[in-house]
Amino acid sequence: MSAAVQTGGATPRPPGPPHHFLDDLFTRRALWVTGKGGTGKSTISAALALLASERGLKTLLIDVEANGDAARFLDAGASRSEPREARTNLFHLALHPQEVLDEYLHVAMKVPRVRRFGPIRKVFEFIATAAPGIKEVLIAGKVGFEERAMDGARPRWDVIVVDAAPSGQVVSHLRGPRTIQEIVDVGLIRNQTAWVREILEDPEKTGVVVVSLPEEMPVTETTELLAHLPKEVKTPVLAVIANRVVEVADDAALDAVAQASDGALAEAAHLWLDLARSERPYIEQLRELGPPTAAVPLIGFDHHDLAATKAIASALESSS
Amino acid sequence: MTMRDVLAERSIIVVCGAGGVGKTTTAAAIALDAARDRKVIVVTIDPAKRLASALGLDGGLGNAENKVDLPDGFNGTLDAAMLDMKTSWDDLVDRYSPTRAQAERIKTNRIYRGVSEQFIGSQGYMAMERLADLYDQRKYDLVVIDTPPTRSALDFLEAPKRMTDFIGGSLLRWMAKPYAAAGRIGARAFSFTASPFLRIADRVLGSQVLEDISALVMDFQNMYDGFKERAEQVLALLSSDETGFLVVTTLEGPPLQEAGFFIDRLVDEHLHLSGVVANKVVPLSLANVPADIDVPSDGLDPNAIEEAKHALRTLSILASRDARNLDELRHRSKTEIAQVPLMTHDVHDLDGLRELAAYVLGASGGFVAPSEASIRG
Repeated sequence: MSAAVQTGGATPRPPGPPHHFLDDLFTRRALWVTGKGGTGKSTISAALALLASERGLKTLLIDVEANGDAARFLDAGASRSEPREARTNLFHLALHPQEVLDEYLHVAMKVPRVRRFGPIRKVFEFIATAAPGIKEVLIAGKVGFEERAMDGARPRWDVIVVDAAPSGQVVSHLRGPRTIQEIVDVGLIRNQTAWVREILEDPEKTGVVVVSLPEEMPVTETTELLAHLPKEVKTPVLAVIANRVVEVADDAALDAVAQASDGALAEAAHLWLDLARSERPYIEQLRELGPPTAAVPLIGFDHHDLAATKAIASALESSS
Repeated sequence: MTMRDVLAERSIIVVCGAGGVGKTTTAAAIALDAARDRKVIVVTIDPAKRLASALGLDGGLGNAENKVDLPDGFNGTLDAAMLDMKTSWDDLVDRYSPTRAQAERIKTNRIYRGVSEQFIGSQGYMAMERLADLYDQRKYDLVVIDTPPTRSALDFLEAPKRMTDFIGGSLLRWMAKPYAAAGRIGARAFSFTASPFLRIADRVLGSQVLEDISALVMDFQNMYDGFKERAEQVLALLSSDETGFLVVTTLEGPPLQEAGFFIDRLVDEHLHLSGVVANKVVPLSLANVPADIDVPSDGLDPNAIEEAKHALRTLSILASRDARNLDELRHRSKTEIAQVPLMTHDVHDLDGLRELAAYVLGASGGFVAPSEASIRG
């Protein structure tokens, strides 16, 4: 994968088990977590952020689609505009495109906030809608802004986990600054996107984590993303995580148990075995893609709350 | 009354739900079933590769319609088509532009090229536009349409209105004016210094981009009446008795929540909710089963016994969740929920679609747990 381990943050990293894929992940300043809709990218984002914070890293979880899932998975209330502390070392922030736009206009354009409902904003809403790349670059720019932010002499965040757009759209987010530079010949925004692009495409600082399921569509989409991404941006894919995996150690042994029992146990054992068998070819395809892979087992939980997120985090920790 | 009877009353079925719940496959399955005795077309957004090839859609056909070879005993016809965004936008521009020159001008505008792929809700708009178009052709008895995997499943309902607001916005006209004027006199003498808003926009974006945008806006203006009329037609069609909505969901958190919002919204708007399909349902016979069951351990691998118990514990929690959520969903929608069991194989051919159709369309009243045999496919 990427080159030598570089500690981007100011906090010394506690040593983990050697060569665990998480160690490599958490040397980056920002992790963009993506995946096909329904694969559990918000779940994995929340679990990764929890793991980073438990390693003593000051962590920010950014929810790009502002649907509040990530906060709910941490038993935290919704955030607006400002990072909000969910647990020790763990903050979360939901990005509302309009507010990001307001902040941009205020900080970069010196447009007074009092006029945020006025015509300027409407004009910009239109431009942000019509001109390709603007909305995306605002999101990427906000992540970059947090990445650069300092608290005194040290960076404000050691790790930023981005619950990013689904795999169909994440490339246009990561590519936002490039798109702007291709289409905008002059102007302030061109200059302002240069540094965002630098951060996004620095493999030492930023990486992508792809969440998938051991099923046809998600694996196809993951494969396509991995083929497409390097053509558009230099940001590396650091890990592919197979979610909700059913693993069986010994098919014949479990089958024997299923045959010897009856009722619910037999039904569950048969279904479990069938699921494991159907998933294996897809797990294999994900492994062959190149980046390190991890498998998170299918976990039985009723509500997706903090306890569920902790169970998933611990599965990630013990996955190799 | 079965779901098949309910859907037979409609000539348009709109299949909706969150991303990844099986909308496309469900749309294809009900279309295939209806092709027993009707002329049917199914329009899909993004089918899985093998399903696409089963429907003959893997050849990069753009928006073209493909005739599907039907099994024996099917006396209707089935066409399948994909929604290709680029082709759809170009068709739209061709249709509503007053002159060919204008259509060409729009299609070569670099902002248009970006808009046509990325404009918010444009997939939803195109799906609805396509629907109205197919309906107008009167070639089919039934149009089944898949909706885009928007984060919010409701977006496409507003897509036609948003599109006309976008094009008809007085703000845009006003904004485009200085550029248009400047363009006509062939100089930038008449510039934006008069308008503080445009001065800022110019600083941010540079003048070339603003000029491209204003050119596009001016050209779009001329298409406004066409768009507006069409949007009104589409909304009328969606609210008519011709159209039924089928909501597809899984029974886990976020997709289920979205399905709930969608159902409420359909009711609020007086649209016809024809049915709800719960996909990937864990066998309800496993719900609320005690965790520890005695197993005859003679000659069996103790690890495998533990594995079986773990399987039961896990599946039992999920089955209990599904049972409870099914109940809530039925109360909320006041309609029967068709259950499709968790399958251990992907649906990728006509046989798979028929199996799926049997679950969806054969469903009627009552909550009957799927039989053990059918779960394993």
